[in-house]
Amino acid sequence: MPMMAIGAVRRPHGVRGAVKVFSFSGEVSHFEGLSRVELRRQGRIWSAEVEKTLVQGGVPLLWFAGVTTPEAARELTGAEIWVPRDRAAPCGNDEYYVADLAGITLLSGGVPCGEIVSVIDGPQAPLLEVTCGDRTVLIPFMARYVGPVDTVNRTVELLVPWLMDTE
Amino acid sequence: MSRSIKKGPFIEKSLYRRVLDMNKADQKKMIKTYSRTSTIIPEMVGLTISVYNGKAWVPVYVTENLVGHKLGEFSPTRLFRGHAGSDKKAGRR
Repeated sequence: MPMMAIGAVRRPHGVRGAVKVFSFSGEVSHFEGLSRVELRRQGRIWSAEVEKTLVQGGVPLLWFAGVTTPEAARELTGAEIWVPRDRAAPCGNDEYYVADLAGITLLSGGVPCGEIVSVIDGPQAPLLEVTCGDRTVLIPFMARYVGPVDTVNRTVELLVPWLMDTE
Repeated sequence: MSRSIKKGPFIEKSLYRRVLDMNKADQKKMIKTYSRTSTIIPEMVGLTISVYNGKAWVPVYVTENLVGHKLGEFSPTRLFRGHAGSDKKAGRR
């Protein structure tokens, strides 16, 4: 099962070894019921058992087994929390993981015209960063401009080809 | 101090001309502009205006609720890509 990063340890909380966690997806409900996770920091990967989880004021708090003091909790600062993909925040209708969108081929009239390399936060809608040869184009991820993502064939149809124009 | 009502909203002349031409021709193609300070006016609704952010062109689809804002507000100059392997989601709007 592929793994996904769901958050990162920010700082200790309280005197019993809890840590505050930053959620990458902005959602917190999937942190409840976590049991075993993988922690990654600076190339080091280790497994950790979560004893207790609590969402307080919209911030997830985790208690790891064997971590009972704020000093021990501070040692975990900066570690990313990775879980199997099925434990990550669930996708809604017409929602996709940014990690899945990267590498998808953009089609225009059925012909490949570029590849999505990343997704950028935009004020109006997420922006798809598409490379086409040696140039990069930003395309708003809006139903007006792009069709639904075909996750099986890893393609997405560009509905308005003039968005790729450079002139 | 706010802009005088007497002057009306600022919009670059060439951009305004192109918006009117596009509406007259009933085309819905993209207009590229460097003018981030131009105000979004009702004539722009339904058009796609690509606004330069200093490095790339960011297409902005103009809707009614954008009227009165500046074009530059929708073309961020600092882009955040985020964590590549995270469960961050992007919804098609």
